[in-house]
Amino acid sequence: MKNKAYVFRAKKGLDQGVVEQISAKKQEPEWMRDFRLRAYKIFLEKPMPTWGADLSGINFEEIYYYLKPNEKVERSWDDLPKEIRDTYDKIGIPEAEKKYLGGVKAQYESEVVYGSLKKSLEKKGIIFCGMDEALLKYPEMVKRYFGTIIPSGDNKFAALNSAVWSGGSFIYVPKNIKVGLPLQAYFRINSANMGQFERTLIIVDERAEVHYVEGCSAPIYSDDSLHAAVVEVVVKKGGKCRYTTIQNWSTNVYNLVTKRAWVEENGLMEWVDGNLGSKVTMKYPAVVLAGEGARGEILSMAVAGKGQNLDNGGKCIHLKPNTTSRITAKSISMKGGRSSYRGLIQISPGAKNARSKVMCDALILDGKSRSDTYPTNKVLESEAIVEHEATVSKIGEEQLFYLRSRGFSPKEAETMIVNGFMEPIVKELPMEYAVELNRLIGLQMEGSLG
Amino acid sequence: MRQQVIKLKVGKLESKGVAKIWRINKSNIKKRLVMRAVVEEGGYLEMKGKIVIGKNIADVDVFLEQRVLLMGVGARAVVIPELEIESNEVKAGHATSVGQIDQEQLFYLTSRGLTRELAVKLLIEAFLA
Repeated sequence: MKNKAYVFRAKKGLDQGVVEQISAKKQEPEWMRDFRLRAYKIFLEKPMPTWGADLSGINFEEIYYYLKPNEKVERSWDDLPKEIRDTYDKIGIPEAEKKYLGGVKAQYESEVVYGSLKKSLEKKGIIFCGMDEALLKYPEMVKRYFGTIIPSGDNKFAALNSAVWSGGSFIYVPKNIKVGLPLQAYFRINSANMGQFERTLIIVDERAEVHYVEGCSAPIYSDDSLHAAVVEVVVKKGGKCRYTTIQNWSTNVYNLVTKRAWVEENGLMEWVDGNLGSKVTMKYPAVVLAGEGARGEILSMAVAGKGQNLDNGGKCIHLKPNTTSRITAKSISMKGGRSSYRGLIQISPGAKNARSKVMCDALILDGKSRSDTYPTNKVLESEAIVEHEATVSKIGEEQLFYLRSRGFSPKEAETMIVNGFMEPIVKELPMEYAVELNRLIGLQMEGSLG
Repeated sequence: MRQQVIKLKVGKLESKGVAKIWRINKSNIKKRLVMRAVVEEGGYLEMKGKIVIGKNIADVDVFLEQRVLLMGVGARAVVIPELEIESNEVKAGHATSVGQIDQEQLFYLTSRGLTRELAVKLLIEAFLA
């Protein structure tokens, strides 16, 4: 971690001065400065969560809350500093871009430094840019929605993000516009002890459609890092949004993310959430079904290896009649890893004919690992149906025996069964991610057999 | 497979809770736990069932089933099935459903000449049987 040419770096630790400094450095409007300061106060007042994973290893004083590697947002690949280009080469962004990406927004540390937008997107009136850029260019729209789906007081880490956020994406899809290609962004923690607090806001107008893909990868560091993001999504009447995440943080990162979508009449929100990395993850993508006939779908996946505690799941809040939701969760625990499904289904009074179904399946590959399921089903309307099912088991002996009898080695057979177990979720991913994911699971499983 | 059944009826405007923590401390267990409840108008039920399997346990196959019928306006239920599993030579699962009386069953009984009230009464009796 040498030769870091930062243009600006806030001091370690957090106080009101740091928050003010971040806001001043970004030349933000006054309302955003006030928003940050209010959130900072809430952050101080809120206690740490007493449930879920162990967060005692986080030291808020040892974190850099703002790093700015370059002064301006770059557009063309060749204009990027070599140091940054090399970093991206290693994670394969140029190849990815050649394929079918709608546009690449790469986040290098706290700021979007590289972005290319296809002209066709702009022509249709679609806005896809960095959150900092959006605040300057589209202040009205940002002000209208920012912090309305996830208020700063939602939880301690949402408050922290609201106070020190930097980077992230802003997307607006106008009425009746369907974005055919997935929009993608890459996030990356690149400096030890650096917190990354990106903030994403997606607005899908009436009958519009978009698919957003976020992939994370980071190398191993010796010091603990914190990633506390906030993602807000608004799906208007008849709109559709899918948000896909592949999270592969290095195994010293605390990944504490708040994600929530507000879905209006006949809208559809889909969260596809894959978790492979991090030391601790606490993330429960939520769907608020706020209009009649709104639908929500959450696909959650976790692979917990040595030293990892992945606590994830989903929440569906049914506020209106005829709303439907479905959660499918798959998890694998191995080499002493722990994965938990934690979920909430709430059918609010008056949400007649609401229906919800949750399916959780977990595999435990060895006796050192652990798997938990903590679902809460609140049915406060008598004319609604809620179903929940969960199983925890090991890999079936018969399946293993069959594959071995066909000549596969124990390792091949086990990998094949695990990939098959994950298939319902992996098949929903863009192709290149699916291929990568199968490889990553295979890699993680190496040596898991005695 | 051995089966244990816990039944509960929550009357009009009543509020009741039932919780069962099922710890599996030894190997070689095959068992099913069933929790069933009917909640009448304005009633409120909290039902919690938890299976805990510690380390070094083998040959276990356990299942928790929770079924709740909401029988009238304002009937509410909070149902929490949980699993905490620390062994891998085991199988554990749960299934939960919260809903209403099956309309087809009701239709069948009323088509045989039963009044709606009697049909509902019989279906509830059968559900809790």
